[in-house]
Amino acid sequence: MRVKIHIHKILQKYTKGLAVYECEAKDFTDVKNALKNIFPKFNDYYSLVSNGSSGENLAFLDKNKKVITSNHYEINTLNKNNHTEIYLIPLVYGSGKAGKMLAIVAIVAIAAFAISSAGGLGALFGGAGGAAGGAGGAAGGFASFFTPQKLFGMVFRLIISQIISSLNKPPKKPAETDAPVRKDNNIFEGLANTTAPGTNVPIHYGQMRVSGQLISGFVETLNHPKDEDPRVGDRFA
Amino acid sequence: MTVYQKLLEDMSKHAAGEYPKECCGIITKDFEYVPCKNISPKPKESFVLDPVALLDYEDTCWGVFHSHPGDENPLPSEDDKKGAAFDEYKFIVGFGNKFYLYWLDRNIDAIRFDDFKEEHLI
Repeated sequence: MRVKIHIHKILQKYTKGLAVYECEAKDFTDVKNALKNIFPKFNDYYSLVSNGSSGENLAFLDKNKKVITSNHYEINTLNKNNHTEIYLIPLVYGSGKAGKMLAIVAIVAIAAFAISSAGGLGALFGGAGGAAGGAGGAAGGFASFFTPQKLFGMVFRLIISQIISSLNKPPKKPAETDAPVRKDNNIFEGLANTTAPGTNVPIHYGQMRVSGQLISGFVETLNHPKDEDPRVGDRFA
Repeated sequence: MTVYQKLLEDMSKHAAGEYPKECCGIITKDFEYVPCKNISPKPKESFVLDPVALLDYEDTCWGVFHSHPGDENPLPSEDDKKGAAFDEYKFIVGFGNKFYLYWLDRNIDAIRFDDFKEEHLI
């Protein structure tokens, strides 16, 4: 989906003064990564924000200028009706009670999850509280981050993924062997599975060169008795 | 009434009206106060300025005000200072008739603060 990103004036110093940037994206992660990959200064800035070195944070607004909240980021899918245009806006906040702010900002901040993962395992489950570093902060974040609805959603997704994986038996991968095989391959064989469901697939950005499916190949050997099966490795020993 | 006095009065009224919640708003480059929505889930102890307001006043925002309800000496807290990381803006915190200005000074890479005075409106 084509997404037009409007960049707030005070953030344009990270995008070479560009106010609008368009990219192809299917989710919010794509939008963030597109900005980070295209604008090195924004990448540096985003790193500072997400590891807690900078107090700054950012929020997205949708096409109708409604705040995109953490619920949307969890679903992480762009909606054709509302997300063809996205506004990147600075997030201004404050709190009289130290240490609670990051958990509060997490409802709208686009870098909140990155903050929590930077703070370690306790912080991961404490939402943004982890950036505060203390166990108390993590516990406070846990309470505010994991509402009953979110916990139910997580458990439900886990059960569904287990059911799906049990129904999809992974195909056997072709065995790797150097045993001699003499087989003519003058006809095209059917495509073979080389991976299994659930295997992570890397997503690439930028220009890519990708090889095609290997259809046919052979190794020609010379100078050996007719009844001997030569091993390719032996020829290079 | 001067622009400064009007600004103080508007901020003070908004803070009193939102008590016991924290209020927040934008101060334009003409030093007019625009009350905004506090979208924090815990508005009694924190504020998150509605980003929509920052978009609407993208070209004209001079600073951001928020209140510390019931605080006799509303100094900027540690989290207030963290949130003041955008050096393009000035920040004001206050309640009643006491207001402080704080801002990020890039020259010393630290937050400075002062009693909010008329001479700050430049």
